[in-house]
Amino acid sequence: MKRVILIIPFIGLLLLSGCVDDFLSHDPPVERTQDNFFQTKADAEQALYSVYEVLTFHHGRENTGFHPFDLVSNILSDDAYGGGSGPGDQPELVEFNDHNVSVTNSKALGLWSDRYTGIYRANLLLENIDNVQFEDEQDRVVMAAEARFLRVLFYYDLVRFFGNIPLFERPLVAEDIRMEQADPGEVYKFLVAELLDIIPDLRDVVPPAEAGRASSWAAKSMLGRIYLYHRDYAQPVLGAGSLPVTEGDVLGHLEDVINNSPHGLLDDFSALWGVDGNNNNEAVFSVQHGAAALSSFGDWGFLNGSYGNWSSQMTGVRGVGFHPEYAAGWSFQPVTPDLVEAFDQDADTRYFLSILDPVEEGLNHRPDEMYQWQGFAFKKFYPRFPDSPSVNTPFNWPYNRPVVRFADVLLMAAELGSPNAQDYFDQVRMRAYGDDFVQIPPTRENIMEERRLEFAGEGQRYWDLLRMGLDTAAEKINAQAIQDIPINFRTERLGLLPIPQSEINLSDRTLVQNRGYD
Amino acid sequence: MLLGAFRADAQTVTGTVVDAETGESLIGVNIMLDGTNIGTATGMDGEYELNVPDLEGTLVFRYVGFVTQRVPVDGREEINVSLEPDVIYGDELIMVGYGIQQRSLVTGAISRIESRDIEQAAPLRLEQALQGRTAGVTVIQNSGQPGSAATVRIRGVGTTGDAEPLYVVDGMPVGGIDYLNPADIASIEVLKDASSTAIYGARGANGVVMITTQQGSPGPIQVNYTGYVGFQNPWKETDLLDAPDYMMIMNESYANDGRTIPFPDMEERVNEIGSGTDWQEEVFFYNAPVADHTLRLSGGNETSTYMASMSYRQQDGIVAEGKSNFERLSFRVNSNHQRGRLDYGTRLTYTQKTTRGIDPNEEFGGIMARTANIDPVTPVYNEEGEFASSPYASQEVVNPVASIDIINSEWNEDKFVGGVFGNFNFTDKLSLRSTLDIDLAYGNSRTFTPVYDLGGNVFNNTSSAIQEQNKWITWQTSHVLRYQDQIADHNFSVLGGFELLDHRNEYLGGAAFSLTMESFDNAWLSVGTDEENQTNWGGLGLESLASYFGRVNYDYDNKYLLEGVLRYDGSSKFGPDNRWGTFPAVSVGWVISREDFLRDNRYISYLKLRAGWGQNGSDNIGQFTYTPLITTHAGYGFGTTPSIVTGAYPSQIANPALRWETSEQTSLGMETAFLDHRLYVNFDVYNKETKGLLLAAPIPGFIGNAPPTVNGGTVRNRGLEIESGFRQIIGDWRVSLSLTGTFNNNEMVDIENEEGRLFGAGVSTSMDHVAMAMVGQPIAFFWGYETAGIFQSEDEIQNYVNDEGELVQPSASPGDLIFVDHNGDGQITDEDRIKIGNPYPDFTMGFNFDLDWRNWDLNMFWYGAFGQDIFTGGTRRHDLPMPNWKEDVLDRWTEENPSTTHPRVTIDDPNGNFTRPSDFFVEDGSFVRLRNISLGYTLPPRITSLAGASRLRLYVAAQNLLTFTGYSGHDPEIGAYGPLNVGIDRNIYPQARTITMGINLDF
Repeated sequence: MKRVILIIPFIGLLLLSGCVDDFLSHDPPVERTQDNFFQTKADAEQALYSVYEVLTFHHGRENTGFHPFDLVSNILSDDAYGGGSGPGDQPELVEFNDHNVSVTNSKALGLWSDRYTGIYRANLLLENIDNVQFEDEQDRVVMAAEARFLRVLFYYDLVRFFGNIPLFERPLVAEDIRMEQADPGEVYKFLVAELLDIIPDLRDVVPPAEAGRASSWAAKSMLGRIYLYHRDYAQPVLGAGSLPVTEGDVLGHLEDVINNSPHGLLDDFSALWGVDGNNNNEAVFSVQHGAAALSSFGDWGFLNGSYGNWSSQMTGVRGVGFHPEYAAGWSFQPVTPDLVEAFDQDADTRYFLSILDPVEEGLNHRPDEMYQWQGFAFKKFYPRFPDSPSVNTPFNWPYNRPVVRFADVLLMAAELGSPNAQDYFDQVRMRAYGDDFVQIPPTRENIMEERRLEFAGEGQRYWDLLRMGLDTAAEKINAQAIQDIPINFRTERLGLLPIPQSEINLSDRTLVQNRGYD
Repeated sequence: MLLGAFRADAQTVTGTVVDAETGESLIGVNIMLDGTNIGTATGMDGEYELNVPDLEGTLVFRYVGFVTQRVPVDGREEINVSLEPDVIYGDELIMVGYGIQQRSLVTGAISRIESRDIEQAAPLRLEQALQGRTAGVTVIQNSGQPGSAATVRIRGVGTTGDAEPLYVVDGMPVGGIDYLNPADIASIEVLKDASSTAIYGARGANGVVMITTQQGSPGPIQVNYTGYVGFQNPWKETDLLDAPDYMMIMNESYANDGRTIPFPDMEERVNEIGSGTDWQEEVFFYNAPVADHTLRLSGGNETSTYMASMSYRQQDGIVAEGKSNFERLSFRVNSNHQRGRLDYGTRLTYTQKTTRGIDPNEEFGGIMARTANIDPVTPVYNEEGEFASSPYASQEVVNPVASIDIINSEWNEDKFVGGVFGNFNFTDKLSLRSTLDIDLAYGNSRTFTPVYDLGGNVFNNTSSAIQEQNKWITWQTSHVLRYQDQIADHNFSVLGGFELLDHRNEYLGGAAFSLTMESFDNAWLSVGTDEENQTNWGGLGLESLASYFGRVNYDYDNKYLLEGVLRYDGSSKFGPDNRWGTFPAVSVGWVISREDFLRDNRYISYLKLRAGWGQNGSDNIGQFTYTPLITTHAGYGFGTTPSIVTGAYPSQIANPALRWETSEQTSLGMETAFLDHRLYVNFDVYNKETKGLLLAAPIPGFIGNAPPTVNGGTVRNRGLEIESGFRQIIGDWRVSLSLTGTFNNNEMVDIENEEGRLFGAGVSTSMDHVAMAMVGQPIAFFWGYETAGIFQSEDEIQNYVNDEGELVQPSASPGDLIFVDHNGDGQITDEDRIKIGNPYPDFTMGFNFDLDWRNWDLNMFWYGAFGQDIFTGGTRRHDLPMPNWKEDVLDRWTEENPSTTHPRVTIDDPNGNFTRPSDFFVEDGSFVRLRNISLGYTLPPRITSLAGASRLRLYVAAQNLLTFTGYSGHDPEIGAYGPLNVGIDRNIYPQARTITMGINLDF
């Protein structure tokens, strides 16, 4: 009997040890794993949406935060200063304005890593999309094309900001730290080839419920944008090689957008802005922030998780108190007097819609608390009190940011020498000046000046300045230097940001620093 | 009937037990028949009566504070015993993993404190009792908030992950020990070296704290009440500027920048408001009460003993009256039973805890941060009697009293920890012990946020309620077979065991907005109206651990000691191929004092050398880190009428090769006692290397996803520990002293990425990565710019140039800080940042002093920590124009006062004096505290016996009565808020100075 008792625990022990591996094996209860993902159309959709979502990332992998594309571009240009509450408030944004960007600037790193996050997600989807079961093969074609379109946008931003970047079309793994930088010409060639390749795959008609997804018109318009930037900047400045497309083809695609797309110019410039202007007919492709109106998201530890337009929050002036129309913000990117003066304030209806003059509008504000404040703020995405998010305000301003809109297509076509150049140019200007319209010829100089006014605050100006040549860019940007705001755009840096130092270090020094920064 | 050997034909032994020094009878002495569970305790007059099977065997007399005595019965029916007062190092038994050992035979490094130490420390949290009383254990109180956790580090920080030790209560690993009532604790053993912790293999790498709760002893029912009431106050107020100085400094700051001064009417204002508002006075809760009551009943007979206790504690915090407090109600029943060869018992506790708290160390919106930053010109209330809002405040710096008003949150926890064990003795030599323990906790949190606008950017347009419920359930079962034997002078024991542990955590929460009734009492999810925004979440966490372990102990004649341990652990946190880890340890000891040449030495009463080597593991990472999890996040939307879509992406790059983190430790120790054990000194030195650190080291951003968790680093701790004590009795005086000291040196030896560093916490808006881990430096050191004084003149600025003659600091003005250009590139960039401080102390010490005279007792406990630095950059919002300053700004640089310590004041700050993390913000955080002092008086027994009581002691005590430190902030004890976020002062919730009055009453 005693012996039996002795044996029982041992048998129990042995039995148990047989099941121990089962005991230690758990399937994640809440999350899927990469092994059981990428199976259904819904999986592929979610993967694609996660690529779109990166369009709203403005805070970097390290959550250091606050570098929306349009805001950074405005600050780099001659249209805006850095701003904030004081010199200690995001001094790295002020570095952009001074064109004295340190190689360790975390905003530059954020711009870099956010876009590579989008590229990773796009590459992961593209690598796996062939294994997904689709009922309608067309879905596979369209979704793959959209992922490639987004990848083009991310690479285009990267090559604009940094010039010399690693280029790859597969999801990297942790061992891939020694990626070499591609020749900028290769990157432009890739972007254009991709766009040409996906134009037939993308949809011509995007249903209203899916407004915001890339259409063939968006790809055609981006082709114009990238072509022009290559022609005027990458080729002469970076020595990039020629593209697999002719100027005539590009113009043909733009004319196609103008003549055959559902998009057109709105009659009223004011209808473009505010919540009601989201996904208006002129928006060929926009970053979608409108869903922020439905959101209560507000995690300071995961700023990239937000829906809203951070530029709005960062643009608002301080000390507003209660005002029926305007809300307060963090007073970044104060407008330069130079831009204000560029407008014909009496005739150009865009002035009142693009520039906020709080004194003129009787808006309470505290100039003393606003760093580098010159009396003016951008207004297109200005946070409006009636649109105030119910919770977590800074995270949830619901204004879409246009990436390319119809007016831009008209001006690009005019710039490329369309036979209808005068008409396209006039359309944009007639809307702006109304009864005060006076025709001027669509010369390059006139078009560039018009672009500055039409797109003021939309993050286009810096890139247009670079298209006008480094010397022009240097002259116009450095002319904004005033007492206590030193600005030193150095042509030897080619208008590029430094490759983030940590990227150079972590790549085992495979990446090479840009000219003028080493 | 298996349980055989119980005999009814008992005999009786009687006698009296007295104190050998004083001859007084001793009450409550525990008497056991050796090798059995037959026992009793002495009664009121020191007498006892014990029923034994026969008049053979040995009686063991145990009494706290006295040497245990073993007396063979030898057929006697009356045995009178005189117990010698404890010589500190006797044959006492101490707890080791899965067993008990005689202290003199232990080969590992183990520190022990007993209930008496805990009673004296009267700790609010149990961890505090370890501080300074155990060498090698660093305890830093995280803040002064009631219920706030403490940072406990055993032999340094061995990991960049979670460095908290494993807590084992009565054999059950638990997540934390704040549910325990300190008065229920019998002893705490801290297992420090690998030889003693290896038996906990998987989770022993950070050391093990083993806690044993009180047991009953045979004898009549004993009733014991302890209780105290007290009041708490801030031990100091930080020197902040008053209104006149504030206005003067602000005017000067603006004038320095060539701007309009904000207080041109300064003199009129001073006439009106005098020194202005002392905000500290407004937010501190003076004389905050604390009360604690514990009632304990214990007793039993030869076969069954029990201990039951209940306790209640209520403590208010010294900041934010009503919004920062702690309440705990706990019950415990422990019982032991014996029948024949089987003994078994239960340990059951239930604890209910309610915590209301504020963020204790937050530089933006914390109450203490607002207090330190808000201007003293603004009153608390405006003329309408409403909270005044400061016209100078911006961003998060707003009226702190108003901020307290809008804080409404509560954490409620119900926790049940219970276990049963059975021990079956097959023979005298072979036994099996099985246990089953459950740790079940329910935690509910609830937060109400009203609609408010406090100025600055602190406003909220919509009321909200957040409710979350958590359930944690852990069970563990272990089965240990033991064999012990003796052949001539060869003693050996073998132990083998098997253990399973399973942990799961279910959570469910939601947030509702636009409440129909706006108050904390009504803030439940059902009260929300905004259905569109209402959110909810829920999920499950799973962890399992399986282990096999064995231990062999051998000694020859109690002189030569050898121990070997092997543990084999499997954790569900690793992939199938890397699940199991093996953790060995060996240790040896030599009790030299038992050798002939020392045996009868007049001075040396005990001398032992020991040495050990071993490995431990750690699986302190999240669940499923080895597999590429798909995270979903809804962060985008489409449509002309927008609707939200959900995206899905892998949360990090996977690393299926993820393995155990291994900590390898070599330890040498010497234990000595002199002069009849009146003096003892123990030394330990150790070298502990943690290899294969579980960390997510940065990878290039272009890879495009979060870095994988890898086994990618090595950290080394080396140290020296001293524990010493002295005890003497002279007539009516009885004095005992003890001194502990710990030196520890921490160094990151390797980080396997191309940069060799991990980025830690930043401070405020402009100081990134103030804390870092970097090869060759201690973990979490402060990374910043070195300063070389202050530019005294324009010439000095012009002469500070690089090789090409360019100015290194072109934006500087006289009065600005000089930053050292370490890489010599002529610019001040991140590349010039170096180690500017270390948040962990080089040396800590504790000094305990006990003095008894007749019925009086006095205890003092001092604790000191030396060599640690504090980063103060988070104590002022330098990014804002008008926050208040500490008084040291009065010595700022001006032309009239060419200061060399504090730069000029400026708002624009073009030189970055106040935005660059530099050694200007590093202060020495060394301190010495009179942690505890108490004076007690025990009433003479003839008086107490009138009330039927056997003992009544009255005492007054004070905690943190004196603090000596050069640190300028609220409190030098900051603690760790993450592995790479240590010692950064963001306006810490300070420790309280507490005065208590209490009684100990025994019946």
